[in-house]
Amino acid sequence: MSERVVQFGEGNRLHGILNQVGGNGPNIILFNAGIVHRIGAHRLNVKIARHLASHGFSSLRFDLSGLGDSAAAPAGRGFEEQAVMDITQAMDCVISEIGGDQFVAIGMCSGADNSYRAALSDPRIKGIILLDPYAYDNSAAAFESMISRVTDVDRWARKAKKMAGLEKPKAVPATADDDDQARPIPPLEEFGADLEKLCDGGTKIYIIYTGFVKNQITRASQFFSTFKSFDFKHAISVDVFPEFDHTYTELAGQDKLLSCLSGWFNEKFPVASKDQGT
Amino acid sequence: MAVTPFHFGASERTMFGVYHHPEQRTPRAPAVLLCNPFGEEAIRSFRIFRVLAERLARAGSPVLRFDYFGTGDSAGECSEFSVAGMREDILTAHDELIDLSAKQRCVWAGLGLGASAAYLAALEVRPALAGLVMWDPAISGTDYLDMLLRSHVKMRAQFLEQDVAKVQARDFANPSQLGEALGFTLSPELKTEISAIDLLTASIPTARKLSIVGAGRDVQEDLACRIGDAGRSIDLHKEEDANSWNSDEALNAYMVPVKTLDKIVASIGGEQ
Repeated sequence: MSERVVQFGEGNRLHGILNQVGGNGPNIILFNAGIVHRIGAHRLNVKIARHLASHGFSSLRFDLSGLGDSAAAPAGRGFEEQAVMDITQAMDCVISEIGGDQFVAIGMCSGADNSYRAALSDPRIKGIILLDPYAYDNSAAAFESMISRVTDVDRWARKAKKMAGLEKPKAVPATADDDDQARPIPPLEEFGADLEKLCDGGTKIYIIYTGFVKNQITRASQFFSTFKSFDFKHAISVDVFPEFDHTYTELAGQDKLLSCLSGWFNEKFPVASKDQGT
Repeated sequence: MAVTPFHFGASERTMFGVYHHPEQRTPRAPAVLLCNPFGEEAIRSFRIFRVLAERLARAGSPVLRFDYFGTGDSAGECSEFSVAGMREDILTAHDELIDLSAKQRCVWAGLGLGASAAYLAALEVRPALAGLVMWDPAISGTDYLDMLLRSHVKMRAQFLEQDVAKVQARDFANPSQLGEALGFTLSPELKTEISAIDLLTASIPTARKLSIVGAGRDVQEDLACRIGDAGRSIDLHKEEDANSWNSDEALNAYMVPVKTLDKIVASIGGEQ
């Protein structure tokens, strides 16, 4: 196995797994989504690291301060500021261990937020992959969602049952409308300007949305219409998979995600050696 | 907290583990091996196991938590995970813990399918374990498998915002053919292995003391009775803050069942 344990940061309090292969492409940084430890939801970070290793890309997956196996940071910094500092230290660790000075950060949900913030502060990050980053209302997606709901006979039947007192209220499914209320979302103009700034600096960006934000976006074209006032210089690729849930629970979704990621890497960073395995 | 993360095991079956060094010198404190549950449950219980390990280390026990082959940060694909492999890996980790700690007295504590695998693997340990703590063990593999499959269908129905019965009839008409549950592969071989688990008929391991920690389900009382009737020492602790390991509420929750951990730590401490 090409993986080994690394500890880094102040007092070696950050823990991670370095997957070193011989390719000369950018190194990949993976970390927590929410509070799930570094292996990711359904072990996705491990699967991503090993899949991309087979395409010649080395990676470090690690726990941010206070999550997984990493110790908490000394008090003083906010979570977002600390996360960016942790990612910076993760890149320092990779450079000292295996060399290379270019990185791609991959993050899901809150991890996506941390990825793009880190890219704004550290020019060594040449690419970011954002899985279900911030999504904003789009009239076309909202219309599609409304039509879908209005024509859902079962939905009306359930509502009728509830109104008649025949069915107890059930737990609401986890969609962005509910869970994301706890995740502060910056104004569209701010997120768009940040993405534009990254594109101006040459950062390659790949955004993938799922059914988690189906009320905000159902097709890639809606992303660009939402952000039509910004010039992303064709540096942003977008895919939307409304059929998959937020954490790619179904194996078919995981396979699709891995395939999309390696396809994007091979297109955007084709210099990597292809003869490496995990 | 002094911890050492490391890889161990045979090169073709490398596993990841975290060794928690004891924080005080307590000669009678046993070494403790923590045995993860399966799949999504292992992810949801990660923090709880870390907290449990820290508490035990604080009380003087060296502790090893680890990922089975095909899980977590260990080598192997998810499709390579098996119950036989769990048993083998528990024994490998046990030897590693004895080497690291230089202690011969060892207690295993497992959750869910990890508790079941530990129960089965404990038959093969010499000298006998000082204790075996089974937290919400999968006593009937058939029931456990059924619960996994139902949880998967429920998850899918919630995502689609449709009735569970309708989704089951349309997409999972034959759940036994389902090859996955909650994000993890369920190969036909793994399902066969899990189905074969029946702790109510399995040989009782020779651990000096056995403990069951659970929600007080009848089947847990049945297992406790069976062990007691065989003249073996058994404690049954009722969980007061039980987790539903596969519920949506358990995902992304920092809830650590403190009262349950109190009982487990006390149970292991009672071995001192």
